Amino acid sequence: MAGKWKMDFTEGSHKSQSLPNPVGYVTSLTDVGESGAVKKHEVDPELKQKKVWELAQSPFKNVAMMAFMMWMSGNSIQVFSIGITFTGIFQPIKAIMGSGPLFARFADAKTETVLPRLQFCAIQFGGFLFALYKLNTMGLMPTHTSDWISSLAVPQAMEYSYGGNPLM
Amino acid sequence: MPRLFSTLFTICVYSSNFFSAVAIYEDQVGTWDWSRSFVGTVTRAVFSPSDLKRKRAFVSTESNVLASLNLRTGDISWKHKFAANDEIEQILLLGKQHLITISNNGRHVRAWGTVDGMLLWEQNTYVPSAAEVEGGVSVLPLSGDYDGDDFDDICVLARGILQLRSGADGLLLWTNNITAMLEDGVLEGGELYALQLSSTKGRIDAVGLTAEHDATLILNVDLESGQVKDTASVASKVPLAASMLAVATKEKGRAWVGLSADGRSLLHLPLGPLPLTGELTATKLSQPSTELRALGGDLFATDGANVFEVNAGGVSPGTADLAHNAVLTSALTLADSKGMVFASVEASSSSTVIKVVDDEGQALVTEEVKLDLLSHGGIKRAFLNSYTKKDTTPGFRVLIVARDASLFLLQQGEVVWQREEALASIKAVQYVDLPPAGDVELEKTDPVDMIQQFKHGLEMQMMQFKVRMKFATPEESAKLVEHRRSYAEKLQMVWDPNGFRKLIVALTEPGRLVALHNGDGRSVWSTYVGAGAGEPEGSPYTMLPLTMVTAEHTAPEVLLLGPGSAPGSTKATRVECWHGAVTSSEQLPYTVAHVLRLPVSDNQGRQIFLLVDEAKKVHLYPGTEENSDLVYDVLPSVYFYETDYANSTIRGYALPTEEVGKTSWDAVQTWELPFSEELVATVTRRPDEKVHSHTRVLGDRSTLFKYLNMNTLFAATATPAHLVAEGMEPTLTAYIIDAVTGKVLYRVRHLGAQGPVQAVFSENWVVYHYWSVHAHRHEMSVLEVFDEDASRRAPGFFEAALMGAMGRSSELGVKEISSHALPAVRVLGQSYFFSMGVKTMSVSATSSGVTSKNILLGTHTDQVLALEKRLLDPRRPTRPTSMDKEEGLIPYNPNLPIIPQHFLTANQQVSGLRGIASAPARLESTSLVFAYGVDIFYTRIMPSKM
Repeated sequence: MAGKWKMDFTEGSHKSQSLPNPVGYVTSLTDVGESGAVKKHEVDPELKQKKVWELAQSPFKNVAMMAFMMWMSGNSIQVFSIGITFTGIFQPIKAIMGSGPLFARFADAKTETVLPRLQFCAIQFGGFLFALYKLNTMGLMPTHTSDWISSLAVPQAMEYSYGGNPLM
Repeated sequence: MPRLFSTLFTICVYSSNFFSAVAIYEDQVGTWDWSRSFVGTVTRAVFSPSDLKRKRAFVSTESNVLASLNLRTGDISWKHKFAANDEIEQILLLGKQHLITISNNGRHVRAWGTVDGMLLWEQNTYVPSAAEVEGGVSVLPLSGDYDGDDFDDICVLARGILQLRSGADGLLLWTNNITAMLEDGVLEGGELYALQLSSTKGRIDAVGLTAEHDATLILNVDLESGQVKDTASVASKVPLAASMLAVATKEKGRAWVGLSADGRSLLHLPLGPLPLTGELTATKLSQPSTELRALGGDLFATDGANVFEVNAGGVSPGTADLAHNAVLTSALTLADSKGMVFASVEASSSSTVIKVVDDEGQALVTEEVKLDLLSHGGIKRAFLNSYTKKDTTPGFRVLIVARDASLFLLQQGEVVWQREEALASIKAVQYVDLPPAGDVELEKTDPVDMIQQFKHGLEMQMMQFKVRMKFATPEESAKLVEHRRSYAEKLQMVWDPNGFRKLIVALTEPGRLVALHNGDGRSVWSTYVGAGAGEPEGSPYTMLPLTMVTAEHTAPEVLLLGPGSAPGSTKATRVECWHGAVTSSEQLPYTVAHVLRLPVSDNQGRQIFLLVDEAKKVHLYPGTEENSDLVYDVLPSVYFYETDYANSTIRGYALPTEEVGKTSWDAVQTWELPFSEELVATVTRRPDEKVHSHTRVLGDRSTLFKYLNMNTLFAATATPAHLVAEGMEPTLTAYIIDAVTGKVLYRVRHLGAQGPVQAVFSENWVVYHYWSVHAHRHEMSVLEVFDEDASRRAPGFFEAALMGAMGRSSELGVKEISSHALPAVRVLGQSYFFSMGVKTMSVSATSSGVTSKNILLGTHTDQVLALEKRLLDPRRPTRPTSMDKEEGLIPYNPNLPIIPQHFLTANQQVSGLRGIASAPARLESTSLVFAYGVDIFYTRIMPSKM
């Protein structure tokens, strides 16, 4: 009696193993087993190379934007223009310094990363140069003799002269 | 690169101190500044009538100040500084409300309210004319009313003009030009000196001398009409002096006493109804005298305490028993017609003895007061005043002026109050560092209760908030101001790392050396260094720093030079500046006309000087053989010059070099610069000035090199006044001169301009102030000198950048500059209008000269104005380019702005302002400023603003 009215949900799975899959169902597309990972490594190397080049070109927009902002901020010395210019200097330096690990994850035998990295650095360097140019137009680059000799020692007189109106 | 730093620095400053203001808030007055008020050396004093509630002494002083002093406290209740050419000649009280002054050769008669010092009326007795008449000035109060306004009138004698004026409003009742009348008669050219009440009622006597000073002249004038009723002249065998007085004799008669021109004889004449007969009787004096003083009754005194008595037969020595060195007061009429008295005041080292003597020569009161006046140089003058005691007997008070200008009020055997008036005439100022903490205790300081201090601080913060927000009551504001004034930190007596706390050592005209604490202006010590009692007048005329940059634990010293005891000698006194002790005093057997501060110190760190006497002989001081060796190397490069304003010439001298081991040398004149115009001003750089930068960078990043030779002198000459009066076009010429060779580096003429010139020379620029006749305005000009040779020898970019990057740029460029190889100079100049007259000019000083400069102007209104140097910049462009803007140049404007907030004195005045002394604090931003005149004022400034 009891067995007749009993429903065992746990048993269903065991039963289903013996059942065939529905029509049109392919296991390989949903299974995330080891066989799937092997398939990902086998992504087209050309596509990957293309992605690397894309990464190499990606800062261009950024740098252009930065340059535009620097141009917009004007050559007068204010908090805003100084802030923009300094960001324009330090951001490319940071990006160039961090470009190694950025491209390292693409590195393999079939993918070329040196040239893209060089391009990446060149674009960033362009941004850096623009920022320096900007700094120069603002007059903050020590490019004149006068920038280096302001602490020139005051020459001492070789003679000593005194006098004035007689005291008495 | 430096510009980068300065930019970053500016950003930091502006972001952190965005709300900083140039001026100070109302409640901040007194935080760092203080002022003290003085009257000067008292010359005349009158006392308010004894029946007035407010007891006052009205004084006029050598500083030309009229003041009212509270007799109970000695405080100044009001004061007025008269103009320099308006010298006060007599003061007197008329009734209870009017104080009459006569000044400027009797030209101005003024009445002042006794209570508040308000000017009640002012009248001119005459209009100045080319033909000035000799004669005295006298004003006589008449106890009578002649114009019917129920107010006593006054009779004024000034330069031979006799006038009767109403005391109530000064209106003229009649005037009589007596000198004009004398010109017709036998008494032609007579001079009148004094006014006296006549023995005839309703008449006065004007007394004087005939033109040849061989006879007295007495004019009897009717007060109703002003008509001269009688004239008399009595001949004298000896020439007469202008000093004379009338003495009432016991027989109700009057006598005239005078001095002979040589001061050696007394002349006597009984005065009766005119015409007088007879001849003057002469009495020989044992010592010459210059002054006579009536002492009441038939007593009078000559110089010193020599009392004489007038009697029927002539003059005989008085019977009063007075010490020969006593100082006598004038006679005083006692209330309730109890007769006349005078006082003699005698100083000794332990006490001061006051003797009140009646007109019989009998001592009424003798008081001994514990007061050492000899340490004040002795007594100069004394004034006697009486009051009625509760038991109706007369009491006496004496106002004593000591020779160091101190003022004492003595009453009932005690010193009621004392004023140190020497500070009204400061001659030289020196800032001195305080001793380090815990080393030399100058003042006991109480241990600080931290909790109490914190609570107090919190309370004051609240108060400050309330004051700023304008919630505070006037009492609270006053409390805050009081707190700020007595803020404990600034009042401490120890060295501070910022160098804000200093002693201001001031040498004064009467010979008192006073050290003031710059926290609140209190006198820390004061020493009398002038002539002692009995010695001839004379006090040190110059103060020089002897050891200033010293080891921390030894007191700095100053050297004072003054006239010596023998003629042609000099007294050199060294004073230690922490306690004011005289460390040594010596007599030098020569006079000192110039002091040369050699760039050499002896092994104790004391400055070595060369003192030049009048004969241009140069003496080493201290003249030891050791010092002679020390200075040997620098002697060939020592030069000096002398400005001769009388002959409009500057002369230069050099020292001979070949003589070894000597301590005195004969200087040789090497150059002479005679000016065709009148020399009106010379000025040089202060020897201790610090300059930070040799260069000035322009907007286009090019460099100008400042010409920083210390031996540069600015001189200004102007067309002599008599030629201008004859219609000659006035011009003013400014010279920049090398002080070693006398070579004129630059010269510029200002057409239509004339003196007086005030100038200040700092770094490579001169700023000077003068009067423009053409524009009818004051003008200020600036000259800035640049070294053109240095720019040619400047390092190239790569050398500069390399050395700069290594931090060795100080090794670049020109190290030494010689006057014997003068470079080509470029001088830039610009002129501006300035709407104020300037009496004195100075410049702020900071410890290393990085901070920008403020030009400190003492204006004609007795205020101190700080003018930014960048306003006086010859590079100010008329049409500024972007480069000029980048350089921070202000567009040129012919008018220099006067911004009210830039008056350092705020709403105060430094009465009789004469000089401004600035000194650097140890903190670069700050400069200390001390302004002195009759009053003194101190503040500190930050010229670059923060």
